[in-house]
Amino acid sequence: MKKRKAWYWWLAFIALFLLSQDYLFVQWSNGTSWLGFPTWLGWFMLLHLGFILVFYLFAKKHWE
Amino acid sequence: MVYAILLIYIAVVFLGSLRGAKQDATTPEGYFLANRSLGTLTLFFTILATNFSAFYFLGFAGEGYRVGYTYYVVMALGTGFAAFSFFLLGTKIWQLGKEHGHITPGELIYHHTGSNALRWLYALVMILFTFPYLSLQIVGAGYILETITQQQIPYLWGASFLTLFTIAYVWIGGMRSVAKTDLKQGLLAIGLMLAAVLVITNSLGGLTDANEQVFALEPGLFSREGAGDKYPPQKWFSILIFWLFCIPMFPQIFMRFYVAKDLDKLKKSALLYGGIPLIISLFPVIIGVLGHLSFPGLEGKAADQILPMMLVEHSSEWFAALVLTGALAAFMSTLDSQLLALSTIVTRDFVLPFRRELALSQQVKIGRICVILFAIIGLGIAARPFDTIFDMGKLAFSGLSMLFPITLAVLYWKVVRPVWAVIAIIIGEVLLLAFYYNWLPNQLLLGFDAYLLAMIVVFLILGLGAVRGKPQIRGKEIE
Repeated sequence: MKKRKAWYWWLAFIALFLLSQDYLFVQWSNGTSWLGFPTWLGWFMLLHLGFILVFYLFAKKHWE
Repeated sequence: MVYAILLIYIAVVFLGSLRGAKQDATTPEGYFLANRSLGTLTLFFTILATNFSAFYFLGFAGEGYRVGYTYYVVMALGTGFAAFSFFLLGTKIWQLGKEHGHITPGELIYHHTGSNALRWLYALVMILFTFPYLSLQIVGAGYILETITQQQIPYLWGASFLTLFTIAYVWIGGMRSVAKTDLKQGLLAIGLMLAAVLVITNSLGGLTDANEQVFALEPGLFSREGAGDKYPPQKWFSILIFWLFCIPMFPQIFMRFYVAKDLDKLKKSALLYGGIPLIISLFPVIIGVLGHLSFPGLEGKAADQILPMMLVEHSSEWFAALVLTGALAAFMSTLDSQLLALSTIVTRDFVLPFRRELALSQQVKIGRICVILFAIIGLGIAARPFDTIFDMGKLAFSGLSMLFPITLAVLYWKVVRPVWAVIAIIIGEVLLLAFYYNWLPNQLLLGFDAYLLAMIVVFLILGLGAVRGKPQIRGKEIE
């Protein structure tokens, strides 16, 4: 993997991890939403999906 | 009915292990690593089933009961991130294992540093810190059998019976039978857990209503920080990266990196491993949270039994027995892998260096004897469980995570000085235990988990050694 490209992937993974540190940018209200789950649960599910997508693209192109 | 379901399950698993025995129990590579030939699905399920255990069934539900939905994120996203370390460490471990014939983690360490002292310490830490996690499976089996037979099989009898059964099929079949069993047990466990959630929520008037009722009773279970503010920012940061460091250091997972048929199989397994927790981690946590409607006020270890209690309360006898048999499957799939991994480590890292003339079939025999010995030790610990399932697991995982910096350095750094690595491991583990047993004040941690501070110290010591040393000679032959 070229060094420059490697940095992009590192940045993408670090960004995903930072997005999981929700206290840095949001204060969730304590309540329920879809199916009675907490309001913030959907955010983390989406983030998990985002991680799988980025990891899939990374694995496809650069994991050799 | 309960006994019929249990007997059918035991017969199916046992017949599977006989097939494994026919295929490759005659050489160490065959017995311990299934001849490095596992395909994507078998590899993925053996990694998943190895990892999702009593900790998944009882621990997730118990912690869901105590802390709430935030625990789902801790386990789902945290485990997802761990897939990254499959790339970071798994790829190199697989390549080097294939090139140089490594079977144990210690052999890789020895190959790259030429130090038996480091190899033995590394192996010893793996063995010692696997015991709390190993015994946790036996504890879970005891709880489950006690609940589904309505105390007809007492806790210790149930734990002993399942341990004996696991010994039998690991003895006969080795890694291939363990992996094949894991595939069946993994599918069974996930399918039945989903069914359990559907049945329980239906009995409580639907998921939405049940959640709304719990929210009215215990709103803390729906907060992002969890009940009792369990995960403030520092703890949240610590726990979400924790799994990335510790999961690949479980000996039974580390050795799974060796068994992939090729790199593509390892890659696909890692992708599945990163994704599946998004769905399956939610099931036991839901049951744990909803447990407050039927069994309010449980504290400490009592909450670890919430899943079997909910099943018995909200479903028919046969269905509860079926699901809890799935849970037993999960416990045994972890226990068998741990027993096999630890016996392999003792045989290859501690016996073989002193008995170089040992025939391959003798190595397998010693491995089998170790399986019995370790199972008995695990049963001894399980006779008096010292903490909740979550806390027993956390201690085991933190201890193992101290090996992550050493492994990373051995695989990627130009210089790793064995003496400094030995010092780093000892100081890391001592620091960890000092915080666990409150010999050191927790205020020193500034709210972060103890493993994080200990790991930083381990990295610093390793780094200091690297700065002062010369590049090591790699490629010490395995004896």
